[in-house]
Amino acid sequence: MNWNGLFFSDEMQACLWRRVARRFPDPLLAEEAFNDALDRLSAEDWGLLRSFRAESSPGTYLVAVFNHCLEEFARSRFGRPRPPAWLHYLGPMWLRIYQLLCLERVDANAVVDLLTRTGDRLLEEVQRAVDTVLGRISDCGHKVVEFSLDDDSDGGYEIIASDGVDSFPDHRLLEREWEQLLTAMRRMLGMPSASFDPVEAGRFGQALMKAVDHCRLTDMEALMLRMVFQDGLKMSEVGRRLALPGHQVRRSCAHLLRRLREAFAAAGFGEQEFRDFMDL
Amino acid sequence: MSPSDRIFGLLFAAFAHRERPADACLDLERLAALSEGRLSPMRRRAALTHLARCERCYQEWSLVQEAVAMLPQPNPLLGRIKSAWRAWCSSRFQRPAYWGTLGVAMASLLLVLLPVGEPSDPLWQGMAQLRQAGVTLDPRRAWRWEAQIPQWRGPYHEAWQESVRGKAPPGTHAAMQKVAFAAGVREVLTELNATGSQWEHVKAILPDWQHRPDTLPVEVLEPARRLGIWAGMTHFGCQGSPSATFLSAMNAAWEAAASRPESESFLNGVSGENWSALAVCARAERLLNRFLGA
Repeated sequence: MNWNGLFFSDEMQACLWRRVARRFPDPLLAEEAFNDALDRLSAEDWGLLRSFRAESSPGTYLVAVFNHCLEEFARSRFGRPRPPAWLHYLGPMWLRIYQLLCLERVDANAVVDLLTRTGDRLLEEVQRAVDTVLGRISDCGHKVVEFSLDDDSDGGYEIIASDGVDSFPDHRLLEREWEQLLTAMRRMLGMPSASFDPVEAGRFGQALMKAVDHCRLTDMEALMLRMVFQDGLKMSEVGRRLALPGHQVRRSCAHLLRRLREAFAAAGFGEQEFRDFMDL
Repeated sequence: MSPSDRIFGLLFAAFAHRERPADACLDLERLAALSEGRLSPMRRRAALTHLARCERCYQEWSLVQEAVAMLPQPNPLLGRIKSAWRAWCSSRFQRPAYWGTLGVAMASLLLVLLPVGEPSDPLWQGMAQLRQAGVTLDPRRAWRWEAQIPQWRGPYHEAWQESVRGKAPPGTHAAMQKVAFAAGVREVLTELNATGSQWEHVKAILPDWQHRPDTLPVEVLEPARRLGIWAGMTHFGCQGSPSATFLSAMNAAWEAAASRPESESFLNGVSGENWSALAVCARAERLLNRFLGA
């Protein structure tokens, strides 16, 4: 496979530069990232691409590996994200927003543009998520530590979460973390802030975990929930990625939500109690 | 969607799956192939199952999707037709059984009319070669082929039947391996007949076996399944006239199944210049019989 020819073809160059410009809005940083990715890719006669098995098309594989190199560059420059626990539970789109806003100090509008340009996500969802992260993490973007590319030690990549923000300890949330999570959710929905009693929030969390155990979602159901609710993808996009018709995704989601409500009611939180608790 | 729906969805999405996936993480090429819709239905399902459990792979997949969206789309209309076709293909197994015959007929018609590319999985490529070589199967004839294997009627067949009925097979490691092997053979049959994969069925019944002290994980059964795929492809390849591409595709499949010692020696024996389709068939048949007789 002639990777050199493919990489430097006009069409591919245009595509890769578009990608870099979108990923790093600062032109100087974009150029540095492109050169770094090219160095990584072309080292040892395009050694990174040598494991190609022709499972995907060469162009797509090249773009995927190039993109991976860009993320490696970002990690080596800005460190690995260590988000607070509540943010971790909100899902991948939120983690990405956190990374871009708080670690890389990308402008909020550029973050929204990056995540919505392809039309996969709803603009208002992303906008609210950006506002929530900025509103809830007061020192977001204030403590940026840049690492030199020459410093390749693993330890150098980690950024310790700033004061007052919890790192992600394990899979169980504490009462205070439940409270933070629920508050963030309210804010995300554009509702006024309401304080939750941490003990009550903890009880809510226990009921939720019981309901989750009771529901026993299949892998595909869990994946669909993650894509729709955590990643903020449009139903049509979820359908495209799962190779399902959009209407089937909508129907499955509606059915799932009904099941979840029933399980939650069985765990002690009926519809009305839930609404009262969340102040909906 | 109401605010309470969104909170419900978010909460359950966050806590639905906390256990780690049992299989290895997906590499970039698999993710790229998944994004392009080039995986076989079986591999696609396995990849999506992994993504549901593995946050790291999911994030990587999202990034790949973002990047791939930047690639120029040569013909949006053709792209739409292809995704509609893939969506139809993947959901056809969820339709009522009486749609099956109609589905197969329509799929065949669409395959002729639409320029849908074959997935690049070596096994699929091999099967495409079979089709091109004129190896067409009558389902009745294909299932009869199963019955021609003497051992099929033995414990192996019983284990499969038990598993189809939703019961755990009368469990030994060999029985489980034979069921996995059968799944492989049946995959070839069913792919050629466009009726669906049996490996998903094997994976679905595995949890029933988990209570057994002598149970085998999926990874251990995988070589047996690959061997079954290879054996099935070899058998049907012999009836047609296998081309060099097809044989190299078989080699790729074989390498994946090479964890059995006899597989490796067989591969060494046939990869020279002088191998012919007949020799491959004869040796494959011996290997197949040895495996089934084990």
